[in-house]
Amino acid sequence: MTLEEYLRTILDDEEVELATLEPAYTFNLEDYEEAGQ
Amino acid sequence: MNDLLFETIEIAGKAIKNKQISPVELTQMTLKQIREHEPRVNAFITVMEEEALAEAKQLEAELVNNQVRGPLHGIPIAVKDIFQTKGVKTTGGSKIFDGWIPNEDAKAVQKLREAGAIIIGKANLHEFAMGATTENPHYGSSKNPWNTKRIPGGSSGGSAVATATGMAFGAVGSDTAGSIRLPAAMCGTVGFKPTYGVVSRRGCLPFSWSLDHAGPMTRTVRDAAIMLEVMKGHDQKDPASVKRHVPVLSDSLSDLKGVKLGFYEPYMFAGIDSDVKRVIEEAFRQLESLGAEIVPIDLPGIEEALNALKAIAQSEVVSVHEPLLKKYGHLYGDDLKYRFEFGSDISATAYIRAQRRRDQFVRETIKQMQGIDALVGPTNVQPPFEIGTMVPSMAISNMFTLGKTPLANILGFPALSVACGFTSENLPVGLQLIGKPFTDQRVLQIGDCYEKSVQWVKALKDNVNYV
Repeated sequence: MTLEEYLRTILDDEEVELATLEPAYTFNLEDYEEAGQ
Repeated sequence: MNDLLFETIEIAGKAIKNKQISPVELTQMTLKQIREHEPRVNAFITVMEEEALAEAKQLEAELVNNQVRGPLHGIPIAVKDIFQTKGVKTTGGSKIFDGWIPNEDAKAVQKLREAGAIIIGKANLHEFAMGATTENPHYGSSKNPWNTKRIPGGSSGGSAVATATGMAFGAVGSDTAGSIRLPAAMCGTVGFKPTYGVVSRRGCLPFSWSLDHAGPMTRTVRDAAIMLEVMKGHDQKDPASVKRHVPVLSDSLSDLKGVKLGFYEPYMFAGIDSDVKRVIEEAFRQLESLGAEIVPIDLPGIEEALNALKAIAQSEVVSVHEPLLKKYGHLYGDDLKYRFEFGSDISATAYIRAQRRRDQFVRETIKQMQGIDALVGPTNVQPPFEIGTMVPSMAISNMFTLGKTPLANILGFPALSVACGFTSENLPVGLQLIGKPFTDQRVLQIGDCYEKSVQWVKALKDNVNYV
């Protein structure tokens, strides 16, 4: 089963959606102009 | 024939393609090695005997028809049990996930299978990858093959142990503050954390989104490059995945003439054991004898950046586990409970400030590294300590006192640990190289050249401490 489906078996439904979402902020080294030079 | 279990992926792969040994035979040999040695080192949570043999038979049939999937055709590989495996339970080293059988592979595992790898088992780890020792309260401690009373390092301890003892030719690990490189160093093997975003983390239970990396753990640097070549690539389902082409494999260098390595002594040698320091200084002399120039470098803001890493990791990990903690807090180990207590105290503004600090430090370090191929220093600054001596309050500090690995996570830069010798108690030490963003190939080239000149890898085959 998917992670979300498994979590539904052990957590309440309203918790699951939040628990499986990755927040928008990560980190991207491609944004650094000098990167790779 | 048993010596083949300690050969490189490249040599074992050629033996399979030339039909000197079949995928089924190699898998059977590997399973026999696991049966004989696993009870002493506890590298696995799940050994996938049935699945591995079925896969080996399929790969053998393909070979009969002259079909070769890729460079890992028929090679047994272990996977840290935090990466999803289709049809095989994926625990994350926790009892909470003991009942989860995923319906698909993690992206990195999927790519390895497409290149012909045989997944031999799910490797033990520190619970949820949150620690440097692989003392797991639910599945038992993995043991260092150089002294089974000692920790193997963590969190990918089982992966390093399996690779060091010929129970796998390589493994998949994850690294948030050093979890690939520290156990590799402490077990005398190789660990490579690629540039952030080069390998997809899809299907890997998260620890800290903006610090988590996936990467290869092997016995040689060349093997790490072979695995990474397979594992890398853009994945639109991992928000951190980069789109650019990142070269990995290349010809070997015959020497290190023209290579400039930056050494920041105030960080790299802070808190270092004198015996470990002796080994590292010898490695520096070897690098210089190959033609490399080691020059002093400054890393302004490093202390604030490492504090930022702690704040980011602790905030993100509490956010990941919050829903589970409410209901299943009692199922976590004592050291994790301590971590969550610490993480809950970090404010939103402190988290944002930490991310800003990180941005500032990355920009500054890129400037400082102009003209430098890589930073150089130790991976572990302490030899592995005895199993059972860690107290929960050491949970967060361990990764900072045992090694110099967190630096490459706050930077996101590629970082390699390669075996560089032993302490007087015959415990391995790792040399670390940290490159600039997306220079993964260069870091691997330098590490490969150094490794070939010293050949510490040969010691793994003769190690009998775990027998």
